[in-house]
Amino acid sequence: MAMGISMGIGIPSGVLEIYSSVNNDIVFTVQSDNVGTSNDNQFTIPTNSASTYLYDVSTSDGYTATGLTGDHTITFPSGDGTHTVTISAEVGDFRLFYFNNGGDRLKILDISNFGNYGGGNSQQFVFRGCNNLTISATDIGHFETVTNFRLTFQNTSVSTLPLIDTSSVTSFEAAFSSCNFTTFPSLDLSSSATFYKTWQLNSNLVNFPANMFDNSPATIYARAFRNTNLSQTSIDNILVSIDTAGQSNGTFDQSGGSTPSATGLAAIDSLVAKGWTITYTT
Amino acid sequence: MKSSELCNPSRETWFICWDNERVNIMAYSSVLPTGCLDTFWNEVDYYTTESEWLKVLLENGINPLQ
Repeated sequence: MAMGISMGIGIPSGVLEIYSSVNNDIVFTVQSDNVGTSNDNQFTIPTNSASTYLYDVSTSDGYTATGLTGDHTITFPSGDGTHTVTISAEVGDFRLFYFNNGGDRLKILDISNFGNYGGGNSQQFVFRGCNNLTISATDIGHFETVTNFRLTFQNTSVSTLPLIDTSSVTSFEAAFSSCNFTTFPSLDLSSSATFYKTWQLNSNLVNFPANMFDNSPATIYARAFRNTNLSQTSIDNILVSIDTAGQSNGTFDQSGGSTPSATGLAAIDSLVAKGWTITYTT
Repeated sequence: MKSSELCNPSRETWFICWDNERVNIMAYSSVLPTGCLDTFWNEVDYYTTESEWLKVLLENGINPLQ
């Protein structure tokens, strides 16, 4: 089983000391008495039968289990309440949670460390419907091989993400829809094929970075920015970047937020000339 | 050059854009009263009820509700 790794280089004279620590564990909190399929003093770790697992689990109140290969229900020794759960696994041995709008989706509150999470191809449906979930983790896990981000964080409370490696992702369909973003991070979208509904129903989403789509081959942005609250700079950033990518015959939807400026409108004209269909806020 | 444009309809208006031969659906969505549609395509059908729009899409093998 994987464990946290600490590395230190010490110089006895005390002139220089460098110390770093890498936490390879997957760490998250749960509210065990929220509504779910397990009892009020329990939490079930949901896995996907299409994947293989080998992991250990421990909790902040002393529960431990080892050599787990699928779903596992924790019974907290201290009873119901808020608990921290730690999963230890090698990279590839815990590729994905799998809530998919069921199970104890309302019990998971926050992921504070991704550690060795990931290593597979798909993150489809994994946190879908985890309405109370936020991400406070600052590490990036192992998303570099993921190609499918379909509905990954749909209907969660996620408002921020670390700069996870999404350079292999082709489908972002509804990946971040109905979340709580105000500012979206500068993720790598260079392999993307579809952004269908990706950011829709983020009614607080105001800020979106420039140049996000410059090297994206995607042409499907239908409903991507429906019911958002983009600033004028943000909608301009988006339209100019999609135009820069140079793709033809695409679709794009925005509603809510600000109308594009002359800069954004010029990008719309350029895109339409290349066969695009665009809806936007006026 | 824009071929078709619809701005600030009085109610949400659904649309389907076809290629010039009206064989292939090229785009589909809706325009809100607070929005505009700009499209390259000349052949655009507009619907004031979503069910009519949906029926045409389904008849052409497209399910936008999936």
